[in-house]
Amino acid sequence: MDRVSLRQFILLAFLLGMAMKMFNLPVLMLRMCGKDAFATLLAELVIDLVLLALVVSVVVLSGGKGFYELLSEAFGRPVSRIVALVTAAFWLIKLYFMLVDVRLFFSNTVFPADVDALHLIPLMALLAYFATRPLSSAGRLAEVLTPFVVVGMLVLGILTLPHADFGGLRPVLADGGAGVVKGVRLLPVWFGDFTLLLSVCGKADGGKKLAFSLIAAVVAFAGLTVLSAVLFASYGNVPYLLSYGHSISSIAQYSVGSFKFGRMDLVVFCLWLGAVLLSAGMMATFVLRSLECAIGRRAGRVVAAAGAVALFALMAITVNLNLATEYAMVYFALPAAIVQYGLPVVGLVAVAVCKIKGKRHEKNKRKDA
Amino acid sequence: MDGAEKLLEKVATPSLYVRTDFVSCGVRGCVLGTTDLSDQNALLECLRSLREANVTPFDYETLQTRVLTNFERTFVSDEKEALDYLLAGDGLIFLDGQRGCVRLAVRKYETRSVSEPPTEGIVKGPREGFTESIKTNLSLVERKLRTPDLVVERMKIGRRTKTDVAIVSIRGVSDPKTAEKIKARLEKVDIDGIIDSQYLQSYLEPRPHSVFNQTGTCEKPDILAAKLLEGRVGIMCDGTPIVLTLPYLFFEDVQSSEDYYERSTYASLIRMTRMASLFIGLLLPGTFVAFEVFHFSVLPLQLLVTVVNATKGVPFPPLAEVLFVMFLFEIIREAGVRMPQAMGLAMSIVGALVLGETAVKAGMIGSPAVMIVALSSICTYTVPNAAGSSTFLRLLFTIAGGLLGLYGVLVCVIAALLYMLSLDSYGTPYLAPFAPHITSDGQDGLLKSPVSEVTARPHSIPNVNPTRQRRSNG
Amino acid sequence: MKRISEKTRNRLVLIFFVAVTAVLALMPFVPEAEINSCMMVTALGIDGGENVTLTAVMTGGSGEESVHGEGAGVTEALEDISERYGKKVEFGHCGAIVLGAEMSSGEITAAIKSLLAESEVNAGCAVLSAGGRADEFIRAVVKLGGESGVTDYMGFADAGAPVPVPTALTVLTSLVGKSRAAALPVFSAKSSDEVTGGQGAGNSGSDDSGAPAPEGGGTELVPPRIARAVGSETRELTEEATYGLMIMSPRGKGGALEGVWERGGESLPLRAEITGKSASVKADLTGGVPHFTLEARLKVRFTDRYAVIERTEGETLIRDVSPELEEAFAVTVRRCLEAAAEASRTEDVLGLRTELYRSCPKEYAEFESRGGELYDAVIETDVTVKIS
Repeated sequence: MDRVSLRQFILLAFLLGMAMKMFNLPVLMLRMCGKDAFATLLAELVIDLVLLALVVSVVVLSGGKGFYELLSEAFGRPVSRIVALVTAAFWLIKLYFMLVDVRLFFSNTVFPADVDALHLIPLMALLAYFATRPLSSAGRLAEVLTPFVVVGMLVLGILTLPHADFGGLRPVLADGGAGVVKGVRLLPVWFGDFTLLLSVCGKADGGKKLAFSLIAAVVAFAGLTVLSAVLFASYGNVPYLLSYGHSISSIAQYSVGSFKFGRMDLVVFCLWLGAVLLSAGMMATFVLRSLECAIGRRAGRVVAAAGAVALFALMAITVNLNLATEYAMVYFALPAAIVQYGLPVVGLVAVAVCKIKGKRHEKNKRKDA
Repeated sequence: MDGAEKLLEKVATPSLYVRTDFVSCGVRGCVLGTTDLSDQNALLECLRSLREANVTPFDYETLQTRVLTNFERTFVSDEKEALDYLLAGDGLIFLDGQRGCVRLAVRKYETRSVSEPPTEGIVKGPREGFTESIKTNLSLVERKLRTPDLVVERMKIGRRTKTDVAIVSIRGVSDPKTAEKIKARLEKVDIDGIIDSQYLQSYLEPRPHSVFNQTGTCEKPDILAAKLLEGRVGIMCDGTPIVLTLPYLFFEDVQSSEDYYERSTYASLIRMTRMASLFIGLLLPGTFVAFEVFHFSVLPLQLLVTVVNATKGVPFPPLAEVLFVMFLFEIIREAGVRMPQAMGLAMSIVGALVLGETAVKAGMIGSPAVMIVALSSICTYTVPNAAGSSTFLRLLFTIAGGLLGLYGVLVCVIAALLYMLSLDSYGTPYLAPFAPHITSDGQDGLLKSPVSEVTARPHSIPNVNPTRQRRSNG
Repeated sequence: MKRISEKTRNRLVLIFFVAVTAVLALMPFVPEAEINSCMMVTALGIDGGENVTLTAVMTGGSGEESVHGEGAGVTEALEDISERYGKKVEFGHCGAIVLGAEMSSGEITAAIKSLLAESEVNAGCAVLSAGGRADEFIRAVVKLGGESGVTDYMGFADAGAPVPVPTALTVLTSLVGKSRAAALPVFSAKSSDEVTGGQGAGNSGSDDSGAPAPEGGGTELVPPRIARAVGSETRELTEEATYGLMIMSPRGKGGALEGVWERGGESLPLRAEITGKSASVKADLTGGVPHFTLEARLKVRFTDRYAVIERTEGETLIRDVSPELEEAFAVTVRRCLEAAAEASRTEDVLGLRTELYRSCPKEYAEFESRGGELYDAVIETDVTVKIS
């Protein structure tokens, strides 16, 4: 069944709200924005909430039509095909950066330096399988994973909050908003995941109640913000201690006294990792469906397979993961902002155009009658 | 009588069948039966009735209405059908010069008595179990469900075995489309023999190659009755005590009949324990190997020192060690099932002491590996019906953990979940009521409500009458 | 493209997985247990000087043992240890870093930075200062500790001692931040006849309990009573200043509190146990002069009830004299805070500059440009003690 229920949509929003933001993003923010990292995070999250509101509006107002169906009706088939191709290319590249993040996280433990890409084969196979599943699988997976992700977040919170000294966040915006502007400009690749929910346009139950997903996103953001704040407060003066392989799990490692109890933060973080894999799966799904819309089902699958091979090849030749992260900030930030924040706007415009066309059609029908 | 001769010409071993001629009221006839499957006393009784009969006209109708009134009897006109009855052990009465024959239900098979099944032991509750006789099994179900709405559709499957198969459901409860789909699938079966109900599984399941069960099984009439009342359909097969039920949910293997005979609080606790056991059983070896090889900083210091000391000198890498121990366990388990009872005790000692303790002392394997695999095996057997798929998954997760660490375990878990989420059993999602989440089914999910509060049938099973109980107690 | 049947598809998937597993298994990717090729370091001692000397406590089959390495820096010394013993040094379970008495602030900063950034030492591991050389202290602890180990001893000290035990992260943050100073508890190992008792204001009363007893005499571990300030210069704080530091530190648990109650011309020593505390620093720049208020709110449990009852000859209820008793304790706390404040004027162990920067970042820039010294700072105390 290629539909998601209201509950599944809300949970998808919850998981997508945190997925890519819990790996290297807090460390990156700290190194890019310094003491303004917290304010930058808040600003980005507000922008993401607005994005979710736009996406939900498109889904609610779509009238049961898919996203590309809407574009096709509003702007014509050629335009929707071009948009689909651009979208597919974008999400494929974003998937690359997400896989870079996953590799960075595990680079200290699982992946020896010379066989990194080979170890990604199972993940690529999983993503390929995910992409061919109906949307109901993604929704049901969200239902299964959410309790574990919530437990992971709670455990991390319990481990870290008693020892946190939030005074380290001060002073806030001491140098004006320059750091915030820099962060918002350079880091869109790690945000904007809600745009993936456009793939369920026309296939989500719930109607206006889909707006509850905003609450779910706020909850996800709240957890993420608190844990990121602990990292910012603890390492605010010494961001150079954290390299790109670190993440929020470092604060749990720091707070727990892991020499006594072991690095339980790693296990807990793996629970949280489920959200990341779901997000990656949704990206793969969106790539495949966009290609199918653009060039047909069979050709789309062939091109998607080729894209997956190209992605794997790119991962294989990526030796310097930190450099890849820098490319994401320098070269890919603007395209990310345009596509991620532009797609829902285009969708809303398409909805409006369709409504106008529909009214004109009705009027003409009545005239003819 | 020509009919009898024609039937006997068709069989390969006529000596398996007994023919007794008689003359009564001036009409010649014969009684056919089998030497091994027919009740000889009943046949003799029938012959006596025939010889002593004094009725006119002496034809099949008179026989059925006035002579053979002590027997279950039917008129059979089709030769093929008559042969089927004869092969099944029924008696056939042929009258000279008249077409067709009368069938007497005089089958007598040696069957087990009704006893507690070995695979579904409980502490409290009924202990009756099905036997190999479909007739006995149906009677057990009919005793539980004394309703005129009990639907039993019978068919014979297997060209040579002609196995009796019955599709059982409750009219007005189960969705008739489910029974129709099942019947349609079974009617397409064209095989030489059905020996057990498990043969039918591969025809009934949407994905027969999958490692996951897609049909439920039960060996007790109380469980079958409960499942029928929830809207499921049962498939009984002659010659086996295992009854199949459809649609199937993964969670029904975690449930036990005893949950319904215990207090709901305790039942909830036990269900959560079983679920936790299943998780532990599946994930423990894989995560342990992952910790040992890649993420040993996860282990607390004291435990780490213990593991280091225990694995010093073991010649195998951790993954190979755990796989080897798992293989040993499977051998011991299989041997335990197959070996003659007389040797059971001695082999248990060999298995436990020699393979386990001595191998550890010799430094071939480490004691943590033995302990982990033993614990994992015990945990998977808290859900015995899922043992097959659990063993496979456990192996997969162990290999993934040994090669790729926690990342590999996670990828495999997600892949397994995705696969299970895509399974569907006659309109029922495999992981219902968890995914998709069905709130109302939570009354009998991981937490069990008292019977008085379960007012609706599970929504995850298609049914035509969702209300079970009009009002709750009190 | 011909549509493939499910059976064929399942077979292809199975073949794919078997092939991948076989490839990964047959190639040398099946890893050995890294656990057996690592040395698990539970404590690390660092001595400075011309060369950095490391003494690492390893845990292994026969309890703990210490190993030694030298190099131009911490990284080189660790490589020396790896080469000598043929194993990779693993710091995931390192619970304590012990710094030698002679190490300067620069050496400490470089050492901790190197350990945290490159060697994956847990940022929460304790940082201590040894009374003398770190390697001597480590060896003494290993000799006495047996199975219990260095980290157990640190855990005991953290719980009961009147000196806050900082973490590597807080030490580094303090040294590289605005305060440019940190306070490290001083642990030492001495021979039995050199051990002196002490009745300082912050004595936890654990003189005789907890510290491992020497076996057959010889070396003893001295529970920490003072802290060593590390900054532009290194010096030891007084016991009063150390106790004041403990009161203001979020990591300090409290321990015992003493006071003197003056009544009827006589002085009665009092003892209580701190059951809860909250402390904060309020900072402000007024007219270019930093103003600080050290606020401390303590809850104590009185342990000398009978001495008080005797003194009042049973004629007065304790709750009626509670304000006097609380004031007696508060006087002690104030004295300790003032001692800590005085010490902070030279080495900012209280983090006053950090708090000033956090409160008024813009004005701080100007203050820093004028030297940023605290000699003229106005430091007040605001202490409340409640007896529960």
